[in-house]
Amino acid sequence: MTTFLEARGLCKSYGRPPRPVLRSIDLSLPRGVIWGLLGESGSGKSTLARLLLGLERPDAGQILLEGEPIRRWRSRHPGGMSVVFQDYVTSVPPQADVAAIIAEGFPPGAPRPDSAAIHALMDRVALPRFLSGRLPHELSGGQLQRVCIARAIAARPSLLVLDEPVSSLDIAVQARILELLQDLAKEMTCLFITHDVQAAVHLCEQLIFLHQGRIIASLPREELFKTDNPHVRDLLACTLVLKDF
Amino acid sequence: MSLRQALLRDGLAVCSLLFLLLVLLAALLAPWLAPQDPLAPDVQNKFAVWSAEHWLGTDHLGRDVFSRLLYGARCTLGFALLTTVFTLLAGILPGLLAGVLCGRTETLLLRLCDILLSFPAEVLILAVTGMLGAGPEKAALACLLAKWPWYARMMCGIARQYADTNAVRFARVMGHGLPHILRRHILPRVAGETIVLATLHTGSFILTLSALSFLGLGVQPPAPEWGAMLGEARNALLRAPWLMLPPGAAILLVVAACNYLGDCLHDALEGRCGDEGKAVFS
Repeated sequence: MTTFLEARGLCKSYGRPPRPVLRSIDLSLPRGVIWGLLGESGSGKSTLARLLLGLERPDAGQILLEGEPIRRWRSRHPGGMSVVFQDYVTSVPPQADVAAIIAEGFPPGAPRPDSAAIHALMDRVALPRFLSGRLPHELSGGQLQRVCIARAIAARPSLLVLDEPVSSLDIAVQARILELLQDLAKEMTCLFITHDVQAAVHLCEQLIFLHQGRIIASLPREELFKTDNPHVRDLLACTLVLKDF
Repeated sequence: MSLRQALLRDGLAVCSLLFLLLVLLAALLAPWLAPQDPLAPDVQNKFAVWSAEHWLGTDHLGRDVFSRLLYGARCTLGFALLTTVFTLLAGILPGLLAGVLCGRTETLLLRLCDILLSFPAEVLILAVTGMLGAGPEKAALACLLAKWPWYARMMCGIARQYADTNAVRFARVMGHGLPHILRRHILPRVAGETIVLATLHTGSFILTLSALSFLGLGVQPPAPEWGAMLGEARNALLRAPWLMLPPGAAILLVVAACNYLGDCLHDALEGRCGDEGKAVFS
């Protein structure tokens, strides 16, 4: 399987004096695999996502996409990477309607998408077509996150980063969005960032565990419960299991 | 509730808007509305009181005050509006760019603004006008130089606030350029605040330009301008004190209408935007 994304020795610190958030991260993501990035809050998951998306520069280390630095790769593949954020409210311009929001997900420089293309995307994320003229504040949280997902897959990106896309949704909507993502993410390299082990196991084939800015384990889903890494076992032990009271 | 609905619910705001539109219309139609030539002296009829022929009387040279008031509105409002537009452009563009680009561009602009803002605006305006010489266009340029850093700083802060949202991050991840981010994400969100600031500052520019004309640094005689008319009336304060009233009341009412309209727009926008609006204006 060819490597799509490769990160070598990534380090990132914030504040003065510098507080390290990521310490020497090495990562190699093959094409077409759904990866889960897990860790407790503050372990550096979202920082790593921002670096991989080129939103911030690492203090040290290098990120290569198909052997090229992010900026060069992005200029050659406009719309080649995309993202769904946890906070769907700030993810969309409040003055734009649903159709305009989804249209922004098409590659820069591409012709303006027609309503048929917008409706096709809305169908894929199970959004009723009559919502296309609605503004963000007229939608529920689940509907708005579906709009964000439709926008994220509009350009058929090679890399899709899902930064805790279901964390702020209620549990019924979470399940429906996860099913949707499972269906959509098959077509691309996907990095699913979460602290929810159950959601990650449900969706991802490979799991990467972050702890205090370091990768402590990277293993296939089937081997998750066989690992003897104490931090991973702690995280698994924290997962709630419903019992028959 | 939309901005228009919020405005229409406030009777005084509607009156202010209608009054300003009326004054602008009167200024535009001055050549057709003015009963007399505003520059034609009639020394035998100087300091005439209000009459059917001279609705607001005549000044120290016998010129019709009402006609001068109409023509003066062109100069006063025209220069105030032009100053507002150019100051907005000079402040908003670098401010927005610095707010979106951040880093060194932002630091450089903010330090430059800090230096310029460390001078009191009135002193800077007087100093620049003193250097450039008297004239309305020079007074307007002095106002622009003194006020653009204020706009730039304000817009930089607002743009920074909006540039730091996930919506803009998504656009950057997709590879959209700066023009797209400004057009789609930043400009639509700062438009409301910009209109409010412009309305408030138009009143402020009317006062400043009138004050400069009053001091003899703005519009030069015999051209009619409200501040200059007030300055000329000052010289005849004991002989004809009523001459102060028309230009003084015109400045007062137009500035009050601008300020009230600006306040109302601000309140409507704050109500519409919730916390975002409050953050901008607090």
